[in-house]
Amino acid sequence: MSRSIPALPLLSIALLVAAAAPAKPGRGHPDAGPNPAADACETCHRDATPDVFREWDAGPHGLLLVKCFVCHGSTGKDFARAPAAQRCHGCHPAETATFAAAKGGAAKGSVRCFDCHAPHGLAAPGKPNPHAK
Amino acid sequence: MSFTRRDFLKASAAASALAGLGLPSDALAASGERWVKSVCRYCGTGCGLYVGVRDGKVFAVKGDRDNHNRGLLCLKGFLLPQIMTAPDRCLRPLVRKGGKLVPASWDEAMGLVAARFRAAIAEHGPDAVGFYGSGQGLTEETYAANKLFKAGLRTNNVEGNPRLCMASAVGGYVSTYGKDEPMGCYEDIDHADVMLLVGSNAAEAHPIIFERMARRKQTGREVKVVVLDPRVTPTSRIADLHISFTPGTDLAILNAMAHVLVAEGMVDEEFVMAHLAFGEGKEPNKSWADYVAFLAPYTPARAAEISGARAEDIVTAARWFGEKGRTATSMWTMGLNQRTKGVWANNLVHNLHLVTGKIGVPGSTPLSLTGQPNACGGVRDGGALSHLLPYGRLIANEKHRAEMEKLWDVPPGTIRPENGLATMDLFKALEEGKLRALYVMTTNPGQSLPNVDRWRKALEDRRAFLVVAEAFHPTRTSELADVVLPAALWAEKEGVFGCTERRYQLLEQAVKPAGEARPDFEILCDLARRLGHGKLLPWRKPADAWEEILTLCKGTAYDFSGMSRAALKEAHGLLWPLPSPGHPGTKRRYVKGEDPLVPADHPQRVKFYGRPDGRAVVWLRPQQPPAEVADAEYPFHFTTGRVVEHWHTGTMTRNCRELRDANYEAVAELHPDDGTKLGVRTGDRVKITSRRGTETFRARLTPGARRGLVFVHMHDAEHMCNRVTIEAVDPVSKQPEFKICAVKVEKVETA
Repeated sequence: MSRSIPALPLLSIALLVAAAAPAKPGRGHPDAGPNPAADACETCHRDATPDVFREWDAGPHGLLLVKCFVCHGSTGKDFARAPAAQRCHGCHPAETATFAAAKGGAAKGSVRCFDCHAPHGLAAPGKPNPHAK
Repeated sequence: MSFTRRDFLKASAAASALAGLGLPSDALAASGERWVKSVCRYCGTGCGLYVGVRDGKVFAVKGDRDNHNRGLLCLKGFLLPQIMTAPDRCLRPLVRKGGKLVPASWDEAMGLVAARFRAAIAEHGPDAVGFYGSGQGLTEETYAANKLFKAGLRTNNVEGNPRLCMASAVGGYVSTYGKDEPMGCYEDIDHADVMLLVGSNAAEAHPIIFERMARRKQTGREVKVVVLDPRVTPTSRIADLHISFTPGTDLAILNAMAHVLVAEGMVDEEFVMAHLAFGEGKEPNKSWADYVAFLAPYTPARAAEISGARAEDIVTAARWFGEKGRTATSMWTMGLNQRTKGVWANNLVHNLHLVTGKIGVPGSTPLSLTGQPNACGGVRDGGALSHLLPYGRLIANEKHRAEMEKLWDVPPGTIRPENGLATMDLFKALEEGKLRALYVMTTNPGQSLPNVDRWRKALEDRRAFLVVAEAFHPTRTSELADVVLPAALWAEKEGVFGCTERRYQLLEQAVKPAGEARPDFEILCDLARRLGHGKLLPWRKPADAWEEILTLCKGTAYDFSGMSRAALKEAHGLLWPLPSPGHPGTKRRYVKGEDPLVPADHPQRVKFYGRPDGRAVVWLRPQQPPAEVADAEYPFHFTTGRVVEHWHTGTMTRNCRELRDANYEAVAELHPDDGTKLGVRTGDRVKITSRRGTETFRARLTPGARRGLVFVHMHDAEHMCNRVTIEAVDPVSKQPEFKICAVKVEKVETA
C-alpha cells in the first residue's frame, strides 16, 4: 500500500539543539512497565491522544520509527514530558553547530527546539531557517 | 551535505560559547567530558558516533555528523549507553563445577580451556576443535582467532554467525562477479531514480539507510520505490508499489521482471556483449540466446500464478526498473539470504542490473545490506569461514594456501587443504561427538540457531567442552557453557568494524572494561600463548595486528593497505580499495577512474576483474520451492525477522529500559482474517508447531500481515522462534532457511 510520505526535513531545516532545559515538573505518565500486550505506545495513544499520535505518525519521526520513548523516556518515573536537549542533540548534532553558528554564539535567554518545531510533527512552517547548509 | 573542515572549526568555536549553556560540544571537553570517536554497536549500517565519557563512564552518545549518517542515529544506537552498566554484564570468569557455573580466576579458567583444547586435539586430532565467532567481533579479534585455529591448531573449523546471515549474499557476489562485496555505496541511494527493495524491512533493520532512501524519495524527481515482501512493513510507507507473494516464489517474480526487460527492449545490448557471460549450475557456458529461451516461460502471468502477485504489478516493477535513462538501485537483506535458494535469489537480483547495464554509475547498483556491524570487515573479508583464507583466498586453492603460509611465516603445508565444517555441519559434528571442544565468541547460538532445541540438547548432554566469551551472562548459550569468559563490551575496547558499503572505521576505546572483563583480542592472545602458539599472535594491542592485516590484503582485490591506523583515526570511515597512503578510497568498484584496480587505459567503463575473463555472469536460476512449504497438516508458513527496538538475541537491547518496555516479548503476527478463522484475538496465546518443535506466543492481529503467514521476531530469549525453524541450508552457501517453514497454529488461551 502506498501512502504519501511526510515532508522530510532536509538537513538544513532539521531539529536544532536548544539550551539545556530541565524537564518540566508536573504531569507524568502512568507506569506502563513491560507490557507484553502493548504495541509500544501506540496501543493506548492512538485513542488516548489521537492528535499527538497522528502528528507524530505523519511526521519524520513517525516514518523513521523514532518512537515516543526516544524523546520522552520510558513510562512511570522515567517519563519526561518535555525532552531534555540531549535527547535532540544525540541524533542531530549537526543542527546544534549550525544553529549556534547562525546565532553567532551564545543566545540570549533560553531557546528551545520546540520554539520553532511543532512538538510531534516537527515541521517549522513560516519560521526562518537558522540551520546553515 | 558534508561539513568542510572550515565549517567544523567555525561550528566548534560557536559551540564552545554554547557550552556555557550546559550543552556538550564536539571539540570542547566541557566539565571533564570526553567525546570518543566510534561506531554504533549494532547493525551493518555502521553509523558513526561519539561516545560521551564522564567520570570513566559512558553517559551519552551522539551521532557523528561527518560520517555517512550525518549525525543521525536510530533508537537503538541512541540508547547504547545503557548496555554498558547492564545488571547482567558478565564480570568474572565462570567455570562449571558440580553442574553449576561458579566464579573462577582468569588463570584457572584459561588454564582449563587450554588443557581441554589440547587434550581434544591430542586424542582426536585438530578437527575435534572449532571456533564459532561473529560478525560483531572486531576485525583484529576475528583475525586472531582465524590465525590461531587455521595456522596454529591446524583446523579449518573456523566459522561465524555470518554463515546464518550473509553467506548467500557472498555466494551471489562471488558467483556473479568473482569477488565478494558490493561494488556500490550508500551515495548511490542519493542518485537512484528507482529503488527496488526485496526481502528487506530496512525501516526496522537498517533505519538510517532507510532514512537515506526516504530522503531521496522526498527530494528526487519522480523517484519510484518498489517493495517486494510477503508482509507489509513500515518500509512500505515509502513504496509506490508493494508486491506481496507466497513465501519462496520471489525467484519467479525476479525472472518475470527480467522477462519483461528483454521482451520490451530495455536491455543494454552493448553492455551485454561487452561485459556478460551466461551460466547454469556452476558453469558459465551458456549464451544470451540460452538466457532468453530460459526466460520465455517466466511470463508475468505465469509468475503471478506461481506467486500470488498481480501480473500487472510485476510488469510495472520491471518497467520502472528498466526505463532507459533512469538509474536503479536494488537493496535486500535476509528475505533473500536466509533461504535454501539464497544464492540463486541473489543471482537473480544481479541479473536485473547486468542485462540493463544499470551498474557502476551513480544511482545504479545492486547493494546487499549487511546485517551485522562487522560481518564484512571481520568475517567475509578477513576470511574467517571454514572454506576461506583472508582477503579473497580459498582454502581449497593451493596457491592461496602457499601465499598465506608465507605471509604467516609458517612451514609449507601447515594450512590443511580440506575445508572445515560450515556452521550447521559443525553443530552436527558436535551432536555426533566428533567435535569435542568449541569456542564461541560474541554470538548466541543457543538462541539463534535454526531448530535450536536440537543443538541445545547436544550442548546440554555435554557432548563437547563449550567455552563462551561473552559480555553478558546468562545468555541462552552461556548458560550451557563449561567456561564463560567475561568479554569487554563495545566502548571498552578498540578495533575496526567494516560495514555494508566497504567502509572500514575505527572504534576507539572510551572506557575501561567492566569488572574483570578483558577484550576478546587479549583473551585470544592469552589462549594462543597457553597453547604454544604465542609466536603466531605476538601482538600487544589490536593496532599491532592491524599492521599485519595490511600486509595480507596488499595486492588482493580488497587492497586497503593504505588504511594505516593513523588514517583510520583521522577519517570518518574509509572505503576500500585504498591501496596506498593518501588514496581517498573507492566509492564504486570495477569502474574505470574510480577503482584503482581498474587500469586507466581499460577500453570500457567497467571491468569485472574478479573473474578471469573480466565478465560478470548472468546465472539461469529457475523458480524452485523452499525446503518445506505449507501443506494440509501444517497449513501456515512461518517466518522470522527483526523489529526496530531490538538487536539479534536481545542480550544488549533488552537491557535498555525503553526498548524492553516498548517491545517486551516476541508475539505471533497474524492476519486478522486468520485470527477470525482460528478464533484468535490480539493477546490470546497461540501454540505454533512445526515438524521440529513448538513454542507458545501471544498473538497480534496485524493488518499488514499476509494471510497464511505467521511472523515472529528473533529477539526474545524466553519465546524463541528458532524452536520452530528449519535447519535446511542452501547447498552452496550453507545458510539456513530461517525465513520459511511450515507450521500449524492453535489457540491455547484467551487473553
